[in-house]
Amino acid sequence: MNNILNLFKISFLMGFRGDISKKRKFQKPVLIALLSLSFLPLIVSVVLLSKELYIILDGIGQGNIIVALSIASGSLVVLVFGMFYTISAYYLAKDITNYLSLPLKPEEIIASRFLTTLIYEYLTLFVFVVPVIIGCGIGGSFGIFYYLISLVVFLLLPILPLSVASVIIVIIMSFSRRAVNKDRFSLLSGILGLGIGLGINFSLQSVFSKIDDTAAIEDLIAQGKFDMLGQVSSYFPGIKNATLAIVNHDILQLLIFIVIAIVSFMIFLFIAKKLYFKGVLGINQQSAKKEYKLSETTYEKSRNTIMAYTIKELKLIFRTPIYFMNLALMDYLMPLIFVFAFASTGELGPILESVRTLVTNSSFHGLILVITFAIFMFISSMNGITATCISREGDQLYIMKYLPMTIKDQVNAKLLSGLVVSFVGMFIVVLMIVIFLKISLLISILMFLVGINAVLLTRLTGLYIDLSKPKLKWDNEVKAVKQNMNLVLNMFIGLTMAGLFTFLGFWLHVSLFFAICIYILAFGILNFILIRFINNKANSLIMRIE
Amino acid sequence: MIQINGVTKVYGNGIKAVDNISLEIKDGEIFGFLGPNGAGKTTTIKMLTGILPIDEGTIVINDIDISDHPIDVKRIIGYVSDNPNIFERLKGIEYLNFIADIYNVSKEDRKKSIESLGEKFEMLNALNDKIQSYSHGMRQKIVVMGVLLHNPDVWVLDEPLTGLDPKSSFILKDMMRKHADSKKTVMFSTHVLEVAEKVCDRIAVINKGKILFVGTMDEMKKQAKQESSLEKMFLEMTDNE
Repeated sequence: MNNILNLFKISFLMGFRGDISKKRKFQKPVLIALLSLSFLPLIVSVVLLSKELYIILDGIGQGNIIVALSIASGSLVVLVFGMFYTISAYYLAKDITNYLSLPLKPEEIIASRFLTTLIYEYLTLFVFVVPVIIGCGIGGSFGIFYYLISLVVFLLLPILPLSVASVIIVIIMSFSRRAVNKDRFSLLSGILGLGIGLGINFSLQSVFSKIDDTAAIEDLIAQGKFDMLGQVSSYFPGIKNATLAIVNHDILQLLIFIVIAIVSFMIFLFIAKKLYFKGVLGINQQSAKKEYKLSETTYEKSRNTIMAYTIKELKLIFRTPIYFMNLALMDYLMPLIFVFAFASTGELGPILESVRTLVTNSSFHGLILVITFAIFMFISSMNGITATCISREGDQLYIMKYLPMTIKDQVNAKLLSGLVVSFVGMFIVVLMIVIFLKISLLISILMFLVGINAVLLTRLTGLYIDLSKPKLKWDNEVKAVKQNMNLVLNMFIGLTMAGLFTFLGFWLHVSLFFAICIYILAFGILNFILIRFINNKANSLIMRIE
Repeated sequence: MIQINGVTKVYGNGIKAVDNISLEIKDGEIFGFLGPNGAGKTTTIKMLTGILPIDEGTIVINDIDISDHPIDVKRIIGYVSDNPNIFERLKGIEYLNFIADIYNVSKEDRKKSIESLGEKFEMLNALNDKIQSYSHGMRQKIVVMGVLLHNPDVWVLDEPLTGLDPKSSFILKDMMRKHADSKKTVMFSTHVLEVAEKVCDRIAVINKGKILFVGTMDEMKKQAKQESSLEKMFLEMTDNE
């Protein structure tokens, strides 16, 4: 057990220590506190809503369904995100090769990795489960015992879905030795795993959506013959036990849930012992291709330096699995996930019809631009492509300084690469909105311009943050991206601005003209000023790093 | 020609990594920079290549002051770092094309250089593989190839022979000699005294940020108090500081 905890401490805590000097050691907790504050209104709303829903549903004997749904949705999120976390922690973190020569049992190494991913899952799960549990606790006027059991359930909840996700990835990655292009294999494995997770998610949602005869259900509930908890939990083991343990303070159910969690982990450990090292050693082997002869096409014609630099950046982003998954993929996947999520509920048609009615009404055109701004600020804030562009240089930052290219031009090339990635995703979103909602050409163009401003703003703030305080001390790419507080800070700024300007837009019920003035013209000028400011500062910010 | 005049570099904690050093390195010579770990060799080289700003003094390369015209100076320098792990996910040929673009090397010139250098270093068959798959020695070679693509007037190398097999090491030393013989300047740092003795026209010994000796190997031997090996001479010189 000591070895497991030591390994966990090394890999997890070292990642968060990074290159924080004494002067900056308070920054991380402050940033985390600030980000938490930005989520506080959302959390409070969920608590209050859960409380009200619990009271209403408890009146018909179905109060526990709220707890069950939050546990089920949390488990599904853990399953989906677990695919990416597992790939990152188990296969892309290069420190594993340091441990192989040490006197450590395979299960100790695997268990420490599991613990690391578990911590990340707690952070994810917190948003889905804790506010609902608290809301139901208040609604049901439960005592301290309710919260104690909830705490135990919360701590054990991610184990089963994370074990499932980890088993899927470990099995897929055990074939890595046969892959010629290891990076592509890692990436495709992550996407396949994500697809499996989403597939399970959506199939469960579509099953729930088939329960649409509300009159019949109400009759069954009135007769005490319909068990919603049973319906939900029949598709995911452990949910019913966890729910009953919490709501009924049932120790037996809690024990059963504990056993389910332990058994799932033991099964994962058994499979991982057989397959993990085969996969991780396979992925770390790099083989050269067969003999290659240079041809005329290999020598590229001379390119403009900014173009050459931008292409170099894009190649590195798309070819490094951890960069691609965290800095590019989500921009393209998030819109598709939302569409499929709606589609799987079976309610897509009616929702679209309602929205189409709204968008044809010219008095809502201003709000359409407000919503567009919010959507793109949200999506682009989640992406740290420019908030990590200097950090990703790591100990190779000196190259920026000795190349015969101004720092300003190199930074602009990094910004350009970030915009290229984001604009493709943005174009997909606008195209989907235009197709599904049948929006006019003029509004579509205005939405695109608003989107450009929103994306450019978050890219510029992220760029300035990373220029000011890049995280350069890392020994694997995961730490440059996933354990980088610059991303968190940029996310906080982006979400705050999104929330503020969206609230203002709705509160003032802005007209189309006003929306154009603010979200296109004013933000356009702001972005221009920011670009000039960063261009002036870039050289001194980089050169002061020694 | 490289002229380092009264250059000082102070790090944030107040320590002088380089303390008022002055050197002149002429065209056509291979100049070796020797010193123990932490002596100030890499700091000096980084100031020479524009990676670190100079706190005091000037560095002038081919009559261009690096503080006034850094880009112009960087265009005529080729720098080989002691860490060859760069752009690992680019293929070798992609890396060379990128460097050629940055240094404005035409398609015809880069083709000639890549083929010639690739043949000399036996790297032609590896150019379509990612640098990630290269051994340490191959990474060193691809960096050297990149540096020589634009035929720099000044070639600066930091511990260049580390990790090279004997054949590649021989080829690199030979290339350094030919580069200097074509009236260009080569400056490199090394720990390996025997290499310095065989390859360098002149050397400088630095310790704790100060230059202890500048001259030829023969002059260094004359300065030594008694007949001793090169290693002993060097250790005496640096230990006495």
